Amino acid sequence: MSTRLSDDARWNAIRGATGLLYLFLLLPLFIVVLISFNPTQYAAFPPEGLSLTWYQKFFASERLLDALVSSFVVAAGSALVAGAVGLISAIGFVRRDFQYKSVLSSLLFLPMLISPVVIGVALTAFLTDVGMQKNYLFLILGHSTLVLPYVFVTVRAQLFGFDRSIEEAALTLGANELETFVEVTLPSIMPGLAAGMLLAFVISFGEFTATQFWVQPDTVTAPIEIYTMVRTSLTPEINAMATVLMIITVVIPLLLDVALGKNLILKSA
Amino acid sequence: MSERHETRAEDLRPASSQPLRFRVWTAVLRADPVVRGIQVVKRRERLLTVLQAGLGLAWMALFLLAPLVYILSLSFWQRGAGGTIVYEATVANYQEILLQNVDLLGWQIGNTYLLILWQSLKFGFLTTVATLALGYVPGYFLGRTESRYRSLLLLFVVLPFWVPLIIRYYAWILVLGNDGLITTVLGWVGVASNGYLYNDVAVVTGLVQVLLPFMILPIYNTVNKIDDEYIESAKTMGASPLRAFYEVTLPLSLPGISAGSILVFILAVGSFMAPALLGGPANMMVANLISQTFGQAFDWPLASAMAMVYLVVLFAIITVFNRFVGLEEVFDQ
Repeated sequence: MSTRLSDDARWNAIRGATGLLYLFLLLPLFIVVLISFNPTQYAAFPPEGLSLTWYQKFFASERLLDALVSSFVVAAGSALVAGAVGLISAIGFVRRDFQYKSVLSSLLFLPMLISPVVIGVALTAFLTDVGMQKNYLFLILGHSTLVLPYVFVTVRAQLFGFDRSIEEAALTLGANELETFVEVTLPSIMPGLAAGMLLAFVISFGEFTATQFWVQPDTVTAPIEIYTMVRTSLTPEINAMATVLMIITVVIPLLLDVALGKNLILKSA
Repeated sequence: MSERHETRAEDLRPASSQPLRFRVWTAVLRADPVVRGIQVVKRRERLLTVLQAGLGLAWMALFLLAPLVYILSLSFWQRGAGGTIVYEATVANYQEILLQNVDLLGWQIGNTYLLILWQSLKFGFLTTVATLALGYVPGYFLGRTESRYRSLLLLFVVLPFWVPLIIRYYAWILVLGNDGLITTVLGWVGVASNGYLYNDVAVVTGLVQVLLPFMILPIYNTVNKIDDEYIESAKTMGASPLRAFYEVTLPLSLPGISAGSILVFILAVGSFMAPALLGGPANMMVANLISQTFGQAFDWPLASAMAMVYLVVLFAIITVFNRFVGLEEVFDQ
């Protein structure tokens, strides 16, 4: 039967199926944004009007804004820590040879594969036993561990395509090793590092599963507040807060990306 | 011939038992500034290797391996009164989760730990099959299209990954819930319902939507790398487009399929949020059970034993998979 279809018809069917899949991927998120402007207490399709009621409620809530600030502090801290550790270890793994390299590098991917519940539980038990308080430092250490693989893998990919002869040129021309690293190496692997750190920020910002074991009342993050609201009251404030979170983790990085013209987001894939 | 053998054997002897001429030459070479320079560079290289690669490894050893080893030891202790820990070696936790029903907060779950673990593997399997069925065609399309919007289309596959997971699962409550999109739309055509949440299908639907990019991207990568000429020459030699697909494109995209499948499977099995937000008590997965035991029942040793059994199963899956496709290749996709 398919042989009777023309190439065009077959290709159109493939294109149509792809279009439907995009609908499946993106429609639910679009609905969150749409319903966030709905004035009533209950979701309604189509929305019964356009209003900013739930945004006003959200921005009037000190508790929710505090959570947003907490998320920001933790995400920025984790992106910096994971950025530094990820950059240095990616250089070690790409440029040097040593035994068991591939087994050891899979150790750096492990946090992506193990359920965040297990990582959350294990780190809580371990760090509280060595006497550590659940504070921002605790959260940043935990989140850095969770996001380190993403920085490692993006920097590593960038280093594989790096032409070392430009470093040699700089050294020959009289730059010392530190100058060469800061002025030659770092700028050319910057896109990979920036993409990895941006991704680390975004993942840390939205992390819930492991974080639920790591927070204290004064360090509650935005995803924890959303979960609490979903489990207890299902208030429409969730939609407003979710939209604000998506602006922070998707719209702003996207605009930055377009403005800088670096295609960082695609690089993170 | 025999003389060369003797020289080799001499080389292997410790320096002190080697003939004098060797020792003299070694000493001369060591004194040579060039050779000494090379040795210094080598030592420096080794030191840098330890410092650079070692930093990431030390981080993981301290914040991942040490905690895991800690809960391994915790799993052989027992919960005392009020959530305290009794430091007395016992295998009681393992006996409980492998042989008995689970009693949480006085609430007897009909399933044992193993049934919930089995359910997690089942959800993982269903999710993998569904993401493959839904993700292959878009991955193929993105790999073969010559549209100038291809990078934009790729961006839309990657972008959902940047949305906090909790929002992506929550969005399904608005689609499947009581006043949700589907109930409303079905209401227009006269079908009444109370929503479609809190069952197996809702959990797997959420997992499929969240994990689809992990399937689409590796498939796109492998399809994109296939040389057009392979497909064209199959067609020139008389293969129908369908046959050319089965004999050329599909086999060449197998690495992408296997990479995507193992990632989706592992991530689905460990999911906490899909059952927590979209499932009912009967749709619990292993992560939810560990979380409840740890956070609500405060039985840290029992939760640790549950985590250990999960990890053993996870590593068994990874090991089996590693025999067929290297894990390294998965992350290079």
